[in-house]
Amino acid sequence: MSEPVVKIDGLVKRYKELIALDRLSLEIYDGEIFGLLGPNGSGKSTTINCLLSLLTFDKGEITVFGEKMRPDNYSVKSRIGVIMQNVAVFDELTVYENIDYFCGLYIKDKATRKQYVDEAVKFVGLEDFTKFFPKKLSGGLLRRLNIACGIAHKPKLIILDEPTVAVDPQSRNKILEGIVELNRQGATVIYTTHYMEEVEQICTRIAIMDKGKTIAVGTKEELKKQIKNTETINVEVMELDDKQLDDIRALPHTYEAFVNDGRLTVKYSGGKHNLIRLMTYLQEQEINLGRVFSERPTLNDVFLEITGKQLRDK
Amino acid sequence: MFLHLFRYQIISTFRDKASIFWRFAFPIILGTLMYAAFGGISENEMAFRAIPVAVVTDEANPTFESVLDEISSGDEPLLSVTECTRSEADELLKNGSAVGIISISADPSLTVAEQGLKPSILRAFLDEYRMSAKAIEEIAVSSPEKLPEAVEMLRNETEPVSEKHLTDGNNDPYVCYFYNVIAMSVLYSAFISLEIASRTKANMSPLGARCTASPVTNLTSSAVCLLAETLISFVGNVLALLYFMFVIKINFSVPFGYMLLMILAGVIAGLSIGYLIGSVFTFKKELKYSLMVGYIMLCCFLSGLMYQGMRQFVEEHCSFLNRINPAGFIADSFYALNIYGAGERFRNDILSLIVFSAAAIIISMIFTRRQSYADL
Repeated sequence: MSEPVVKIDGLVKRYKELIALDRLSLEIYDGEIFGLLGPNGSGKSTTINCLLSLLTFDKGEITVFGEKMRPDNYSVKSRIGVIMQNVAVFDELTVYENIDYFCGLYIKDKATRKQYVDEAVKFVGLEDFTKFFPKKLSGGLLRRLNIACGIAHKPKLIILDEPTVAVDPQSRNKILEGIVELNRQGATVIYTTHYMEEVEQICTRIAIMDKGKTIAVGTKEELKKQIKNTETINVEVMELDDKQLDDIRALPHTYEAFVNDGRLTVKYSGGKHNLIRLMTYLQEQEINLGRVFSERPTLNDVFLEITGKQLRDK
Repeated sequence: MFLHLFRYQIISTFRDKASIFWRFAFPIILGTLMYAAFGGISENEMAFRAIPVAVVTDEANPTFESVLDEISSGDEPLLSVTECTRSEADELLKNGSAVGIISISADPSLTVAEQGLKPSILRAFLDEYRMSAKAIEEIAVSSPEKLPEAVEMLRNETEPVSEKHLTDGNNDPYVCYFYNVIAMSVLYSAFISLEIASRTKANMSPLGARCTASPVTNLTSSAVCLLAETLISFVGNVLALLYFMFVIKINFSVPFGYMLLMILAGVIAGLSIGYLIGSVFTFKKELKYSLMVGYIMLCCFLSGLMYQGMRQFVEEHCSFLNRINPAGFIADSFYALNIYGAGERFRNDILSLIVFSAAAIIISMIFTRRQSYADL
């Protein structure tokens, strides 16, 4: 494998007694969309801020593009695009001026900058809003502007810290499609979120974080292989006695079965035709059924199985 | 890069209504309010005018009549005398054309219609005359040989004191209020520099984080923004000064070039205050604004904006405060220029202002040059 674009080695960050990052190590390679997934407070943003040298850290080393990352390493900074969790634009500048301003911090040539800004406007779909001030934009459009400001200078490494928080589904899709497109154009992307669906949708490799540590790293398939569950079947049932439930638990590859609130949940570890076997048994027992659906394991299941808690805040 | 940052700083400032208000409208509005409130009590307005008085001769008294002639003639007469009959005098007193009626007799008397400053002056004049006349009478009886000497002494005693100006400056206290308005206005440049500080530091705003993550140093972006704001605030305050001079006709009687120098120094001091508070403290921006407004208002209060004699009071009771009060330096430098010209006092004020600004900026820069923070 080639030299990683980002290498984080044994990173420790403490806030007084709290350990925000606990010997965190990561390697992110050229051309990846690398997802940092974890619940709120797991250390995703702290990792990003350390990576950008905005935060000091207690131990460890960060290398970006083969160079040690320091606050004054402007050569590295000039190749990074940052999209922060909170929208960071000037209220007094229009959409176009905001993008031009931030692009101008990286690109000195006027003609090139104009071309890049025009491309960024088009890329995020804000062509009809170039003369709007940020306050006149909806939440979704504002997020798109925030992204345009971070990517207009065509960075080689793009860091997005929860860019879809509080965004409508249409804008969210637009943003996710845009990230994939940026990656297709050659940028390496680091994407932090606590929405597992987004990570599953766009990321080529994922690190799941909890309490300042990476608890699992790999592609989504690799991560899902790390857990016992391969399939979960849910069936709405009118009534089920204990014997019937024990019979279901005894079916091949079943490792867990329970009834909760009129719904039978059966979890399998491997095997084929699990749904057919279950339905055959329920029909033989003449049990009245409602809806039936089967689920593949999600990253939430991975997180749940490793940590014993849900990925999302409930 | 310089032009890029400079241009956008100017654009964003001119689109910020609050910023435009504080820099351009505030000094003009405050100056206009000052003019409306205190315009009628300028020195010229307060210049003494002769008191109109009706004189009725009941009995000849050559001595008193000669005294009356003396004080109702010359460049600055005390009385404006109208000799008339008793009925005419009553009419003048009744319609307010005369403040009082002096009846000439061996023992002159005074009739006034109401109490007040001018009737009191008339009464004091008459009492003074009576006392002097009595003294001369007694000396004439007891020591006639000393009479000429006594008359001469009394004459000298009653010679009016005239004011002599040591400089050509306008020492009208009313003008000082306008110096303080300018001092306050230049210090309000601090608002924008506080904003600049917060948006260039990663630990203060998302904008600061984005800017700090860029390849442009905080020092560069701050310096360019502050330069742009110096220009804007300077222009705003010069416009206010021109408004005071040519629209509401305040006679500053200070060389215009020196006033520009003082405004420039004041603007830099104001910007340095905001930048210092914005850079050093890490608490919420709203709290910083409150701290800054409180500090500037206190400075202006101590420099005499709300009460003219305050600066002198502070000088007498806690002179140290005057040594660290930028509003005081600015107001005092205007005053010093006005009264004494560009002398030592003015130079000291300018020097103090420069030292204050330099210290504030250096401390701010130490905090600003950091690009990595322990907490965000």
